[in-house]
Amino acid sequence: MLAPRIAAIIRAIRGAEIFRIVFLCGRSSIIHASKDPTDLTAIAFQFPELSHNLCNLRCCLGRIPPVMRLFENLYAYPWTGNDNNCNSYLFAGTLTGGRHVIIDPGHTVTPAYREPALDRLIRSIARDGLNSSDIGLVVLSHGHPDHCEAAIALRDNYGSLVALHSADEPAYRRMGGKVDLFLDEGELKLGPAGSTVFRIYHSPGHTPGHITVYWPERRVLIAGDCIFYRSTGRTDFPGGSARELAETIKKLADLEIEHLLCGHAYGNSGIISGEEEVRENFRTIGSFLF
Amino acid sequence: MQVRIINVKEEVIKSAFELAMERISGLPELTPQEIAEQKEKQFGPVGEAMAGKYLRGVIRADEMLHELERYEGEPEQIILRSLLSRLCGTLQLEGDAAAADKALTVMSRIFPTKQTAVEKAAEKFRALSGRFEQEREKKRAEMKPEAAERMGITGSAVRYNLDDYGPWMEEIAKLRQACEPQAAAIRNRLLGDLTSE
Repeated sequence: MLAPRIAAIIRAIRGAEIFRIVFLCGRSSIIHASKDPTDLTAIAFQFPELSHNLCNLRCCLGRIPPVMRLFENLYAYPWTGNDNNCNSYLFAGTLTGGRHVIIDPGHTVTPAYREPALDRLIRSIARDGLNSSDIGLVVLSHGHPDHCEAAIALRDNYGSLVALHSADEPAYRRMGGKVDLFLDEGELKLGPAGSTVFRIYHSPGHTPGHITVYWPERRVLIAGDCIFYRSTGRTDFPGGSARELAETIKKLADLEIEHLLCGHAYGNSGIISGEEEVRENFRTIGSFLF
Repeated sequence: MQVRIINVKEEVIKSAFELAMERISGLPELTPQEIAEQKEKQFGPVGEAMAGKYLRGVIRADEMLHELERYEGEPEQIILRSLLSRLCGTLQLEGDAAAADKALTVMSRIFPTKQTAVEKAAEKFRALSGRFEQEREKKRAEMKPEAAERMGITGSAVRYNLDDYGPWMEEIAKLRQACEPQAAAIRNRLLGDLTSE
């Protein structure tokens, strides 16, 4: 099933401006299409059907971060810069008035290499035909700067509301941030008559106020820094707890997850798709964690 | 070798203390009011510090009582007054409930004969505080920031941070205004009951 599709994509991208495109399918099969830059056409994200069918997809497009439209209204912006920064996820037009929700906008400028992370994110969003000034709600998985620093600028510039768990609020406040909504375990209803429903899980371990966002309708879990591809978040930061993280992961493993969207592209793009693949990821983590 | 003889004028050499005493002897006597003020300045902070240390958990109630026993007469009265004033100050509507409980407990121990007055004040204050809290939570539940409402952000996971939200601050100020005189009356009554003979 997969091979003909990829062959079609490779044919389609002939002659484009992409230098390299890498598809990671499942755990082991990697198809690497790398040609002379002048020889390739088109960009993978212009083929939305790809995102649904390929297990994992990573595009290396020089300095431009790849974009994935996972669903009609869910966009993934995996970070591909050199410095540490998080993946961002955007729900387009979910709020009343067509405004968007972004989860973890990341750094404004990365600390070591001074990469303009927010600027790149805004350009990526614009490439999708969306306007960053329409971001109405910024949901922060936790209060570390590589996830939430840009929320300060989004709030200042676009009047976006910022949502975070109260236990991580002091850390965010020390950065100069202000929280408009506190999120805790429960339902988050968005849009006209609460048309989109997320379930928020308090998921401590990496930080005391870490949350994960579950979208039951599409079985998507946005996991922040709890779970990565074959690994977990660190617990050696202030307020971190390995015991709590293990409890959190146990709890999340019970959810029906089709797409696991991680906070960082560690080991893969940070996007794990396919129920079996997600389960396998939990199993692998469980084998060394529990 | 030539020796030079210095003719020192004979006079009494005074100590610094003698010089100071000489100077103050020229000053007018302190009035009784000034003496009382001096004592207040000297002993008032002692009571306040004692209460502060107790509330912060630096000293226990029995240690505080033991400390109080070192004073008697007027100094004891001054210390007790400032200590009580500090303890009664914990009875605040939005204050630390644990500190208020701690203060009421120690007041009963300092004045075992006036336990009824303390209990009565505690009961009244808890009732008022409960009413205030209930009313505030009711108002909080009704309050939804305009931006969140406009974008349709709701749900059981959401609690609005109303700290800097203008309409909420106005509402809460009105509520405070309505309840604060009653809280002040409880504090003053208790202070009066405990300091009266």
